[in-house]
Amino acid sequence: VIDTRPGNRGVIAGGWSLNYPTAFSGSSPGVAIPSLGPAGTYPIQFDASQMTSDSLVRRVFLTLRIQHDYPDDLRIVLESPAGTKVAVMANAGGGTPVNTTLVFDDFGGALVPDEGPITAFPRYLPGSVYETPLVSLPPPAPPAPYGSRFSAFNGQVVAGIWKLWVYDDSAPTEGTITAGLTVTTDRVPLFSIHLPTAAATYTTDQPFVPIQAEVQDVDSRTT
Amino acid sequence: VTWRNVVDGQFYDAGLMTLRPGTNFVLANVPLKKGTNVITTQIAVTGFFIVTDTLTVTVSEFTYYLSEGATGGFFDTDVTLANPTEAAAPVSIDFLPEHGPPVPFAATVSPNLPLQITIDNTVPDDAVSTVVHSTNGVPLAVERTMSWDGTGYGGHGGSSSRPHTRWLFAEGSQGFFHTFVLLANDNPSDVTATVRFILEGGGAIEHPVTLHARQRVTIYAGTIPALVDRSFGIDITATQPIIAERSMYFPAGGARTFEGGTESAGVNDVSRRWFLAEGATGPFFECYILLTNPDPAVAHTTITFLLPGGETIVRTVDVPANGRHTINVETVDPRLANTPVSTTIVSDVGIIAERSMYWPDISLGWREAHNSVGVTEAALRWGVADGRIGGPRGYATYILLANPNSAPAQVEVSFLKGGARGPVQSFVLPPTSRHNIWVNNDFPALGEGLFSAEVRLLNYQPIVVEKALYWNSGAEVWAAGTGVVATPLPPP
Repeated sequence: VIDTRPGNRGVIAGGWSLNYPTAFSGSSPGVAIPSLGPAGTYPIQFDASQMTSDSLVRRVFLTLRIQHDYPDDLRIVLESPAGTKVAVMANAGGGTPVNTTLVFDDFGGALVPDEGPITAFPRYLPGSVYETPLVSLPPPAPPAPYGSRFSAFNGQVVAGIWKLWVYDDSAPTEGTITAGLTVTTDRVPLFSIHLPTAAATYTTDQPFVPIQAEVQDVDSRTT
Repeated sequence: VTWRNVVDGQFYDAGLMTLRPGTNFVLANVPLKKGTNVITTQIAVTGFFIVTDTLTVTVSEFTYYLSEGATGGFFDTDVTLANPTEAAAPVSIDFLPEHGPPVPFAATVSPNLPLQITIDNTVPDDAVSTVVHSTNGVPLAVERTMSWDGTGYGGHGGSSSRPHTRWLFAEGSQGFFHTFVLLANDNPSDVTATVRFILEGGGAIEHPVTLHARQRVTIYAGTIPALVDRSFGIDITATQPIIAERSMYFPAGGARTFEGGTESAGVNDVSRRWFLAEGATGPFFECYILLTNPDPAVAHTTITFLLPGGETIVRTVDVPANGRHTINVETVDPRLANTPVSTTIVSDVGIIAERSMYWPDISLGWREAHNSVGVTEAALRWGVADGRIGGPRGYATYILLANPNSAPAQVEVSFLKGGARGPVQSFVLPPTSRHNIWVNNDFPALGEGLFSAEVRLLNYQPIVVEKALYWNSGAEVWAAGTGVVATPLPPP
């Protein structure tokens, strides 16, 4: 901070801060799903326009709170600001009612099952699609084909509007959906095990192994 | 930051990693099981697990090392193995004498049973180290108990440690004490080590030594003229991992050889946090906390004494740069004048902490002592291998529990004798408290003889466990004793 003229003084009374976002998080209110047709908000939008233009996608997490008596009716597609689109789930879960929260990311342990019940599994894989090929969702949703993994977004600019397209393809059951989106960027801390070895494998004859990992580029939000 | 271990495809254990203050490093002591251990660490940002790293650790057996041991006309050495599992544990033992080739020994430790090996019967007259291979990967608790003179008027003990290229000791003294450094090399090739004696008052003496393959070496400080009548710390570096322990005997020139003695393994690194479970003051015991600061900056430490009821006494102590500080516990506070006590030490720079206890009261002339280095990691499961009750020597065993947490610890203690779980008792350790189990008195059903014990935490509040063993020599009550840190065990 430089004062270029004499005579007047001041202070930056409130201190100062530097905003250095390493991830985007957004959420939607509950949105009604009709018995047939697009969700009440179509698309559900996540505004990441405040992210800097040099923040690139590293990993995407999508959280869906779904209440529906016949989840097999649902087709859900996530579209990035760059226009890349990934099918999250379609015709999955059969006819067993669902009322739970599902987390999707590429390191999930399983696909959402074709037939129910859908449980609150720790994390599911996107691409849980049981209609081949998945037909296009009605406009203005982007047309098929759709990708099956969020890694299709990797390296894209985070900033912009992310869109979640939700469509019910069969009557008569209705439901609601609440969505949350987290997009981490290449600015997140790097994390790696350094000791007892930086290699991927190690052999020992001791009942405990002391592990030391380093968090690089750590910021104040890392604990 | 968390870790998770999956062994051969089955979930085994998980826990938290802790941040090393002032650094970007997080640490965890991850328990292992025989097989392929896939350890995944995860760091959470904005509520999601977003960054992971994985290390695959292969375990085919567990190995336990004791570098001290001596047999012959003066010393007797017992090595005790406890198997706190339901599976038999075949063991392949190598005794490494100082003056001969390794001596193999094979045995099986039955489930829920201790196995005691009198080394004099296998290596009859030598200094000897012990390497125990649990070849089926069954976790064991391994301890050594030594006594001397046929009457057993002195004794010391130790628990197993792991090989390392660096060993540090807070204490050493040649004068009133005789100090020995005991090194074991289980490598198939020779190892060069440098033993650096850091003199109190300044200066250092370097003593290079070659450890031949699979052999034990003894260094007596009295043979190094510059160490005579000096006190010192010890810093050992080696070209390959070795084991290092230190024994100290006193008083020089006493009526009986080595009237009393202590023995401890060193530590491999300094730490900013130490736990000492054992400690007792009063008319019989004197208890000292020994702090060594090898850092060029003053160490500002906070010492917390944990009393049986959960009451704590806190003091701050500065340890000089490259210096030592000794705390006579009973002089710190009137409440510490006559009590069992555990201690936690937190420092702003890395230090080393040990505890020594002497008895009877100095006014009567100390005749025996025991010593333990501090523990840096509390644990959820501990094994005590060598517990003894009664017999001609009137053995008495104490198991000493320290709960350094701000929450109660739910503890289950079970005893191993005769191939079955003996008495099992559960109790609650109040926050920041210390608890004594006087096994002879509290568990009379165990009867006389050898036993082992397992201490398990039921509510994920890790504690620290030590064992003290005392015995009589003729009419001299508690003429000898040992104090050892129990062996941390991985989950069953």
